[in-house]
Amino acid sequence: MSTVKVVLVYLGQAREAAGTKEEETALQAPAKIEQAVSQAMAAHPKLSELRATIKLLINGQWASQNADLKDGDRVTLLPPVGGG
Amino acid sequence: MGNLLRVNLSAGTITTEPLRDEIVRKFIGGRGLSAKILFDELKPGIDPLGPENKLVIASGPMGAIPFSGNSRFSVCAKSPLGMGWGESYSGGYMAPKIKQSGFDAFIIEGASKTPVWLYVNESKAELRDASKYWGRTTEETENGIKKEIGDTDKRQTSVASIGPAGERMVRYAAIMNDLREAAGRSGMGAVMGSKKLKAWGCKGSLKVPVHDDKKLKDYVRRCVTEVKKGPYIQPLHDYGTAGDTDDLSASGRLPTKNFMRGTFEGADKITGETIVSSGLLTGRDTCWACSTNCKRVVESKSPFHLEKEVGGQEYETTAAFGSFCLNSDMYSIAKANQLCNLYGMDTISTGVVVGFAMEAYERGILRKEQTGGLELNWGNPDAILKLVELIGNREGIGDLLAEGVWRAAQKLGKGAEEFAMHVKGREVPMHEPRGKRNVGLMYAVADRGACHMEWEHDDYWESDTYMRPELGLVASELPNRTLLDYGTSKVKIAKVQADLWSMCNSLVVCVFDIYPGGGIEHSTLLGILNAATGWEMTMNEYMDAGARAVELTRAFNAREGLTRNEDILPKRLMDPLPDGAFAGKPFSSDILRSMLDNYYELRGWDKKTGLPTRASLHRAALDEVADELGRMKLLPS
Repeated sequence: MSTVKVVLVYLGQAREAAGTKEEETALQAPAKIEQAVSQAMAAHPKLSELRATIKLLINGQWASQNADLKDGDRVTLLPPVGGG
Repeated sequence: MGNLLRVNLSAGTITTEPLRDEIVRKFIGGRGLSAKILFDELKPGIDPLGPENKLVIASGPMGAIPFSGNSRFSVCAKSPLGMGWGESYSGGYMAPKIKQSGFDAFIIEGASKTPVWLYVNESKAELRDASKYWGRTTEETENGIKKEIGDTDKRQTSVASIGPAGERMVRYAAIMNDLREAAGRSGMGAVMGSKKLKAWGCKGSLKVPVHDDKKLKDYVRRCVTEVKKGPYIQPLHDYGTAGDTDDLSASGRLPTKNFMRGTFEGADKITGETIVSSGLLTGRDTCWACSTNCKRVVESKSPFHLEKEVGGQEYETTAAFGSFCLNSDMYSIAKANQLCNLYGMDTISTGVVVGFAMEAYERGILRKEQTGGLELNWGNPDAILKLVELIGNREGIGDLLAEGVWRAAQKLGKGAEEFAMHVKGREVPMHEPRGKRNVGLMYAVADRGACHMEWEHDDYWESDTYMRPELGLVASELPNRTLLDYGTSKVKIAKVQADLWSMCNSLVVCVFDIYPGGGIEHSTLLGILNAATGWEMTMNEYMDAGARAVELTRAFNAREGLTRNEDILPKRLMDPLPDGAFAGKPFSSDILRSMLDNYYELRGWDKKTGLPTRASLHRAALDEVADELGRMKLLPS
């Protein structure tokens, strides 16, 4: 079965929760962004607390929850960024 | 309930006035109390740098109660930078000392003929000669004053001063306290300079009366629990406010190259995490009673000498001297920050002014012969640092730039107004409204001019997580809350949050520790307020007090001639970004018009003029203000 390799990028509180800034992960093809997020949550349970507030980007562009992923995509998990 | 200290620098007199409970309950402290005093006592149209202007330095009714975030004080006056109302806030150790020295607020009026400093010590106050400090940096002044009074313990004495920039009335001069804390915005340091007030120092350990000590302790304990739940607190501790720098670039919202772009390839090199991992950070510091420890301590011998006492860069400074000027040299940003602290200048305005000068240089509007041979190329750290010093000394091209981008652009002409990034004369902070619609609205309507701290930014409101029915934020009634939405839901959230944060500025607490980014709930703050004062204030009254201060500052600006015409955004911020996640999405004039209409409607203001109405002022229990505006024919019919 083929896989899609993507890079998960954690920003702000997501980086704290995941304990890393980025990591590579392999998803079963055809891959959706929701799969990548679920995999991230499973690997880093603390991320689940942020699930409702996290926004997603693919290669720096906003992505919907059911967006398709391809090899080499960078998926960014972005929690709220405030003022200050 | 407390006391006001009135200092007339022209006459050299100092008097104490009782502060009536009904005034405190209505106007609270900080922003609200200062707006009341300045609306009543300042005549419209005065020169902000003349002796007629007054400076109000204020704590609040919860001052000196130890809990996270309760370490702020306010400084308000007519702004010499903006077009009307001016306000600024600072942390550190000064706020409790104002209360423990026996006062709720100081009113500074008139102007001295010679440099003086004000010493307040346990209900007594005196003016002392400051000639020996004139011309000195804020660090030299603060250390000198502490030596003079024989007390260097910051738990006992706190000193606030201006540096050479304030003395020379750089229009965005800051007031520095505890060496690294700044009441930076709106040019309050220039007002001090115009009065030849070099500094004030507070010493004292007077006990502040509390109505119900047991209840108070219960609520303070609640704060300890709640603040740990704030989603922004741990990252703030770890990486400081600058920890968001790379996140903002990744999401296309990092002000870059004078707001020409939203992403910066050097963001990783200057972000808060790099400040930590590089070893530039040598410690974390805090304000009085705060467990968050978001303050940065930086230290270095090369490439620049950085003193650990003078403070490390926060987010605004990182972006203003970094991405905004295309500078990815973290050490030069740290140095620019410390130079600003020593000269006493707002780092946001100074960075925006430097970016403006770089664009003017690129366009040939500023030429090498005008800059004294300085090559103001983008990303040139040496040019940035030199320019900061020229501005602080009002030397050469620094004299023009010390006026701020609004006035400098008018003098330069040749189209410079197009890239002078200001609203109401105040330089725009480091947040990108093209990726946060409510931030655009905030920049436009803030009475102090472009401000990023009138309410929490858009990101928090997309999910239901931070909605609060008890505050009027009901998720099911407020659909369409994405970053780019700008309809009635988003504007309602802005209005509710504006009232809440206005109340925070009257209580003078740090919004970093308060809901939604910090964890302390407003109901807890209200509990502390009632336990401290013996009031039985409701949440509706609490929010009304915040709204009252908003009405007052708007009325203050109405008397100065400001209307809807000044509630605008710089044209560049309305054009689409060329890069990042928000590329091609403008903040069009139609969007701004719609948001303003909705905002005015929610406040009961006149949509045509943007002015408060008799009805809105009556609702805020400000009928006397309505009468005054009526006499001046400023009440919309």
